[in-house]
Amino acid sequence: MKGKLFFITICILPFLGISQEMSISLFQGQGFGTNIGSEWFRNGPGLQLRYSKGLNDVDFWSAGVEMRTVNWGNQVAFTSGYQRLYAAVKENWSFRIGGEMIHGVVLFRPRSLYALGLKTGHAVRYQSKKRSFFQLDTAIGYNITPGYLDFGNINQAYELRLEISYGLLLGRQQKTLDLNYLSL
Amino acid sequence: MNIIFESDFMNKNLIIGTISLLLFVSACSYLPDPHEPIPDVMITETADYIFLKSAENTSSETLFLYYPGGLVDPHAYISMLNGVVKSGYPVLIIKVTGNLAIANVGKARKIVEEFTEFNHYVLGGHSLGAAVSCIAAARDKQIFDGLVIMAGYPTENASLADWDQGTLLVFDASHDEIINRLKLEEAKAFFPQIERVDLTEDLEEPTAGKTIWVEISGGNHSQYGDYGFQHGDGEATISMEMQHELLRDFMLEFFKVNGW
Repeated sequence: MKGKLFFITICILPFLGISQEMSISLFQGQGFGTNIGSEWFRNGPGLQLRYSKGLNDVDFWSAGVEMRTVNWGNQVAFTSGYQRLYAAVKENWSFRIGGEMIHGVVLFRPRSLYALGLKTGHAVRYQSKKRSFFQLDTAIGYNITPGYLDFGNINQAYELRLEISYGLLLGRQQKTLDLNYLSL
Repeated sequence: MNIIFESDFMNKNLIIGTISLLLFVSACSYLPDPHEPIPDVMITETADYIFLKSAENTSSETLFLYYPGGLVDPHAYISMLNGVVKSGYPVLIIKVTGNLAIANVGKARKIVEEFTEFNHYVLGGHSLGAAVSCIAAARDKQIFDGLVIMAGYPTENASLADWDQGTLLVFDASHDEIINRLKLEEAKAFFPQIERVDLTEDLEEPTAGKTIWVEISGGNHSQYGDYGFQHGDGEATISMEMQHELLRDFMLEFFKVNGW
């Protein structure tokens, strides 16, 4: 028992000094184009769980899991992304820019099909003093399921994505940010 | 005590969360076999629908709109409907969010507003799609001329019993073990006057205000489309091709006798 506790402590120690956060996001993708042409359509809603870790005071790496619908089915995917904090207003508000890569599958029978996605956009964050935050993301996204072309004519979608997140800060909180440094 | 309560509460949430997650993760849609070009049928696909039209026979003034079954890829109905298309009736298969028609009840009406060149609009669907087509028709009785229900039924909230001008066709496959027979029986109160017809019989006069009820002997739930065998279904004693042929022939007769 003591050995396990020691092992877990050793594993956790490196993360205690680094700013980390867990968040949950709900989003809606509004499609504006496919591989056939421009078209306005609902690409589908989704849910994402994300773990994010600060590389320094302004750069963040993230990993997560996403469940959503796309135009041709239901998709489960792993995400990995990067966000850069580029402006902060007072202590509560900050603005970020970043992108995410999505690898997963669209759930089909008899076999699921590989899916790939990308998104890039802006985020506005309100951070409370209670180590939690709300964030609103607007992004442009792209989804493709190469194998679906054997079944239908549309297997790619371009979308505008609106995302609302709630998160908790873990580990050390950031110090007061140098606003001059962050201003672009 | 508090610890026990908290633990129960957390367990309950954990169970609900896990079930929700499992439901989503298991929400696999049935795919058809990879598509091949269909001679004489033009296919136009958008993010919202698959529109099938005969390359030669384009005189019909009737558009048949079709809602796919729950978690079935919409392309799985092309093979069943292409016989209707080749006979001159354009068919539009509606794509739905997450392959669950219940998320897009109003989509049929929006599409009708886009396809204004037709004089008659007949709605149809399979399974969950059939139930949704009943809801859509109940909401917009003045838009739709008729309804073709495959393995589905209306609920009390979407009762069609008072649809005087409605012209309904219900297909009921004898080996369909997915459909809830008890609820189907109860739902008979929500249809206009039901008239049972044998597949071999000819319809002799327009059927407005009636529900023509046809049994597909030997057919099952899965064979309304072309997506393989659906878990829990009965074993069909006729082939999928035969079931499609029976559906096509009777639908065409139903359309013609009603002047569509």
